[in-house]
Amino acid sequence: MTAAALRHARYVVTENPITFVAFTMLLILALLGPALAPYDPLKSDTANTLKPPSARHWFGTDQLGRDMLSRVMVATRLDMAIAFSAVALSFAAGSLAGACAGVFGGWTERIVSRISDTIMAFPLFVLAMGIVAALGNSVFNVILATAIINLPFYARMARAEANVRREAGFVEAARLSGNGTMRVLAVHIYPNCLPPMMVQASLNLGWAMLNAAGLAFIGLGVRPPTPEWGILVAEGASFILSGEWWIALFPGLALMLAVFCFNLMGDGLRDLIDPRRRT
Amino acid sequence: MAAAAPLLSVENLSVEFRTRDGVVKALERVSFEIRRGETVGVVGESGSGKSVTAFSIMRILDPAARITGGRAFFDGVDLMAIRESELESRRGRDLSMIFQNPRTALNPIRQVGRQIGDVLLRHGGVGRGEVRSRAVELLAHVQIPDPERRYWAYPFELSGGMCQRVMIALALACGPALLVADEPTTGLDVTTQAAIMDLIDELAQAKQMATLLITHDLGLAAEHCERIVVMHAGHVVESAPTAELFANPRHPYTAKLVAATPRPGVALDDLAAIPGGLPDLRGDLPACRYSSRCERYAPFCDDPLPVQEPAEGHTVACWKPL
Amino acid sequence: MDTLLEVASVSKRFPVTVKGASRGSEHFLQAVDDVSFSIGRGECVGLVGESGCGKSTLVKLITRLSDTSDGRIWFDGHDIGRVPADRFAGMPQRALIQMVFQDPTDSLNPRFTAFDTIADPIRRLDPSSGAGAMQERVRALADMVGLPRELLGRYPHQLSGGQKQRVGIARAVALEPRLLVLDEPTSALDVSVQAVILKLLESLRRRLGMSYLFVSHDLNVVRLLADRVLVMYLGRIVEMGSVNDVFDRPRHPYTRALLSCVPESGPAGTSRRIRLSGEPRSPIDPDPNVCRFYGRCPEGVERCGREMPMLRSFEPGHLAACHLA
Repeated sequence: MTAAALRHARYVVTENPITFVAFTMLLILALLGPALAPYDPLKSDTANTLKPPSARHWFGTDQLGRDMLSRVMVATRLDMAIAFSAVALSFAAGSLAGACAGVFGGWTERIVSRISDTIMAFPLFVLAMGIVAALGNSVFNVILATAIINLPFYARMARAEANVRREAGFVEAARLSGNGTMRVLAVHIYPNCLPPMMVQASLNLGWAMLNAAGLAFIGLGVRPPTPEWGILVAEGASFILSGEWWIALFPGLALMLAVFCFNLMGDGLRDLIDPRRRT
Repeated sequence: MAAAAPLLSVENLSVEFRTRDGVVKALERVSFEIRRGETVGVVGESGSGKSVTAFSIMRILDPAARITGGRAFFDGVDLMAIRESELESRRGRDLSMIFQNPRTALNPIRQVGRQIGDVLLRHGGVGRGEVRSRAVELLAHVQIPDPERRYWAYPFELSGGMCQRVMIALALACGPALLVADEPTTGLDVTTQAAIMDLIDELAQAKQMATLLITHDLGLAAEHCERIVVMHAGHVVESAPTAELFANPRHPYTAKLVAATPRPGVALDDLAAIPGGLPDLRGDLPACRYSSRCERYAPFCDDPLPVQEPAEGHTVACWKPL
Repeated sequence: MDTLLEVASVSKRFPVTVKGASRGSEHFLQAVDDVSFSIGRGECVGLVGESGCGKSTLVKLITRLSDTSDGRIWFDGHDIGRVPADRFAGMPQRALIQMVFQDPTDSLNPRFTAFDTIADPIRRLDPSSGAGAMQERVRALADMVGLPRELLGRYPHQLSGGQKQRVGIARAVALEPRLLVLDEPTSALDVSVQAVILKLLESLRRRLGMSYLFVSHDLNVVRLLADRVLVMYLGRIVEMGSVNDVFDRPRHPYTRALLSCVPESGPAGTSRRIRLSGEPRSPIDPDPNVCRFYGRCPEGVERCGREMPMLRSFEPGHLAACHLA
């Protein structure tokens, strides 16, 4: 089975080469960023402030003389971690709640729906701001806030998928085979709801990253001097008019590349999960 | 009868589909004829290419499809050669089609009477003032009870049988010379099926309309068709008047198909099965696509297929007919 | 004949909302109405009827996937109707009543291999086997239904319709049930494969000594396998008897109409066709005193509109519910 999965993974990779190269790069940076960075991202060098891109500093330096390339590279880890954690949390909680709502109906469904509706009633970014402001500035709270605002999408999708599967022949067959209601939900219905949600999850990764960056940009959540793309863009924004374009541009490009990459990965991820696409 | 020119003459029609996994040679040199007022059945199992044939004639194939050869002469005009705009004016007026699964073939958000009205306005030369009364007339013609009220119904409010009647009304609104019916009664109850087929027969009789009936149900074709064309894996394997086909099937596949269909008087043990499965229509295929499943196979069966005519009006594509 | 399944006056109602009805009024859709019949050991009983006749609901009641509104169901002497459907999985009878479904694609979990699908009931209801023994059992089942062993590792989308249906059959007979319900098992298959599957089902029945409830709309197929047949219309049984009695000497007008509509292979005239006019009666809040077929029936007298006909015997074992038969 794993041999087949690896073969399939190789097929998917060869179908979308650029995306996977980009994703691998991001992954490597996230895991090994600090080791690969040429300079210490936090070390300031007052003699070399606001230098444009050069052979020594590929991305130039910022107002404290810190090497921008190193800062951008190291920030990858934090941004990826926030995005993945938030989406994972949101996916897990949302899909479970939605699947239960779809299968059990009644009060379960009403509660899940009302909570989803309440969340969706707010402009989502404003809601995230509110949550972080209320709970305090920390990475965990950013993750939590991003997860909460994405819950309704997963809950809704999972509910619809579960509703459809509930009537399917194989679910009846599972009951005839002696599976109790919880087993039917956990083993038969829930795993089949996942493939369509994988595309959503991938798109969400991009959004989650933008969310975290956005919050950091306005000063909530992650605080300087921790390198994070949103903070870097915020710091660089004030220098654009005075001509030091590189401080905001490179983190911005990195953010754009990452979001772009995740969006393109949507199909590839779904192919990996869904056995129907495995031929 | 034999002297009159056929209404529809399909000659060597070949169709391919380009897919991710290769080119599927869905139809290869399909030929048959329909005369005015005649009912011809095209029978075959799933994958035989019968629906593709119907869709090709109407030229409503999937974008991945390509008609790689052949002609379809309708009333002297080659449907494969004319421009889309000219074809559009013929579709609905001179030749029309009804589909399987009537409820999904109708526009779900438009009242059925209005849908009939649309066809009348487009092709029927009916003025705006008369459209509604004409449409109600057509609904009554297809034996829909209470047609005045049903004019305003949406497809989801009607049963499967009623939706199919609406589709027939739509198709027949402008009095076409040819009706293509693609599995019109699959999925309907037996009593509804009988009623719908009888309706089609009556209307065809009254208007001297030719019908091309596509079905996998041999019994249905036997009851309603004057001639039957048997298809297998994109080839026409046999074609004959109905009585002749059942009395003297000449192609081994036809004989097996007849023997596999449950009917009164035949016990379970006598029911035949057809071994093997459809060949993969991608890649290289032998000249006879039935050869891998045929117990009469001989080396000369790999030569290009002949079309023999063992009796009047009875053609078979086989080197060793029964 | 030794009775395996006994269904006594079973009914199933569903509450529905009716457009334009006054608030607070309750309306019910009578899906199954006062159905009684029995199935003997080793017997194959056919159930025919068109859409809306209640056969799907009846099947769900018998397989205990849903609960009755009225009536009793006895299986092998045990009153299984008494146990609620969502607790039936724990009963010993669960393994003894199984089903083969109509749509082979819909009835297999797309994430389970053929092996997992066949092994599931064994794992759930007879878990004593270890991993090695399980392999053997599943392989033996695959052999029994004619499924090549190498296909066991495949997913449903990699199998043909006939192969998927064999997987479904293997799953259903894995625990050697006494009663197997077959819900149109071949209607989604090509005619070339149909014969093989039907013969397989027949040989399995003899080999494992099972009883069948064979549900089908195709009367020609029912004729091949069934010993007795039940004809349903709008939730009630209108005729029952041996296959030969009912098909050769139908008593109920609906059965006659149904038989006249069946296409036969071989040119036959449509002149003998009995046409049914109008639409079926509404199954919502039906009048218990009016024959369900009245109005559509080609025969029909005033008595049919005020007294519900009950099943009565015409020959030994052949019953029909009609005043005029």
